[in-house]
Amino acid sequence: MKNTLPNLSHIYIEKDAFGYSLTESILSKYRSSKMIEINNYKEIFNRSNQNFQLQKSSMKLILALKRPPYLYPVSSIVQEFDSPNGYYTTPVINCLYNCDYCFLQGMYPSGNMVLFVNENDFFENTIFEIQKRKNKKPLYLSISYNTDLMAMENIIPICRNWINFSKSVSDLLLEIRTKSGLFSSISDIPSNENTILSWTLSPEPISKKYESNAPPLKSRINSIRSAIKKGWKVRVCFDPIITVNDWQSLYSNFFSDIFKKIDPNQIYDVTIGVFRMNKEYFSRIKKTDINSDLYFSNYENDDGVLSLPKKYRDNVINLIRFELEKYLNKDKVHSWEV
Amino acid sequence: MQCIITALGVESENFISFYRLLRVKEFKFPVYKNDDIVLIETGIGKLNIESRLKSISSLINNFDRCQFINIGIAGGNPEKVNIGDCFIINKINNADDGQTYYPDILVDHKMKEAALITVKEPVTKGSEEYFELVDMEASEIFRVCKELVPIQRMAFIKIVSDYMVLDQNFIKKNFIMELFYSNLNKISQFLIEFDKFIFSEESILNEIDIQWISNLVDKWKLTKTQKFQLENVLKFIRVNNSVDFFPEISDIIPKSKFQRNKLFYQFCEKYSS
Repeated sequence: MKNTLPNLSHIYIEKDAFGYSLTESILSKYRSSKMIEINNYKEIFNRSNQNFQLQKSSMKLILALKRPPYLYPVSSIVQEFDSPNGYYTTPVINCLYNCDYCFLQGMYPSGNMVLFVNENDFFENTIFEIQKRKNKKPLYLSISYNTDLMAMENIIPICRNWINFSKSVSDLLLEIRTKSGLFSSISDIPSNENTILSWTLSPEPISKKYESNAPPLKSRINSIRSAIKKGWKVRVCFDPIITVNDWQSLYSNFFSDIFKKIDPNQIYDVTIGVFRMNKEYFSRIKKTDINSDLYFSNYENDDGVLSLPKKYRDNVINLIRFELEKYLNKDKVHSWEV
Repeated sequence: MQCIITALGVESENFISFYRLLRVKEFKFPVYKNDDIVLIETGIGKLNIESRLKSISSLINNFDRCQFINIGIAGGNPEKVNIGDCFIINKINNADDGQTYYPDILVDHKMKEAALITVKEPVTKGSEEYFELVDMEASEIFRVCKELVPIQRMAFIKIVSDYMVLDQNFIKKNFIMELFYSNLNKISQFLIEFDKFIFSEESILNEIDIQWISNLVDKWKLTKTQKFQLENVLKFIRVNNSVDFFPEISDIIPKSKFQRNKLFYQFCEKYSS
């Protein structure tokens, strides 16, 4: 779509969101954007009859205040990593990228992005949840679950602020998941034990076909190498595995290539999973006439989650595991299984 | 199809001649059209907007693939705007009930943008209460049209005609005509770009596909569920880039539900993922 306005051409700001440092930082960076005052982000974000995909062609930014709850327990769709205290939080809603397999397009009525500017409320509630937990395992918190924070780090320094926060807190394990090649935006921050940087990687043909706007594989690999060099805990996510024609050899060659460029011994761990989605989100996306073959495969409904039929799914996971265990200790490979 | 909505005849005249629109005589109120554009006059204020817009639905195919563009004059705050300025509206507040509407502005345009308040009575005693622009129709047009089309298919364009002071508010017809004439180029360019945007809403199946489905549904007397499944099969074929491929259909016309279901099952097995 060539005749659209650039992303962030319009910034909608809740009346109560003025005065926060994130708001001021955005407003000073985007002086040429149209600023429109609103009462509550929901009056624009939650409107009915919006077109998610068209809005993605010219994404607007909404600056708002998050009201409770600030942390949510992770769903069964996410790997739990042996942590009973798994949570996610949403400093930002929606993402600069537009991957075909992303659940966000079925979860939200709008393709615009919301940035919650009251960071301190998130931090205070995280401390509160840490204190409230009933066992001694650390609180596992994914902060980039409904977005890709690192992709926006040059616009808004949310990863930086959360990493700095995590340094001062014990019993917190932060995960920042990304497809970005922008590790450089935080490379000046010393690594810390409380943060895992996770990169999602897919073979180039899959990335080109299904990960619209996301950076090429090469730049993600470069970011991973830099992060490892700087001492960060790095997780690599091969998730979702997409079972295109001859996926077995595609992924086998892909892993061989990846682990020539990244030393497997220096990776914190790896996660794998097949394409899966909440049934309601899937139906909503399909109703929008999405032009992706992913939505025309035969899936099995397993307790509200659509995925490949169990037998086939197990086969895929086993084969991917088998391939990965050529490079990694099996304890380092985590998988999503219903 | 684009539907231009104006309040007054004097706001319409330039568009009627520019687009060579012809009066549609079956309506008692002013409606004009050519092959691509319909123009409807609603009169001043909110009163007739809903009934008049709904009454032209047959003229524009139940608003399927229709864009609504409200174009009209507005009063402006002299500290913010100048007479003759032309704006795309990014926020519309209904002064009656406080409801606020936000048009989606996705198309690149060369106009300035402003917020607008829609009032019930003409504002004649100055503009202190009103930050930017004031009109008498936009919020009602948004309210009605959002039930008819998706949000991205609405646009609001306002030209400043006065500063909301009665003594200075004697606006001659020729003056308004001139305001519209001087902004006609800008507005028509916007309409062209806005029109292109609807093509990005193309569905996976085109009209030929839909006709093909309809023929098979009739021939095999398929149920609603089977029709839905058939659409899915053809969509699957289309997303896999087979632009002009249609599945082969047996010449057999099923004589029983059992035979139909069997045929349909075989068909789905062969062509779906």
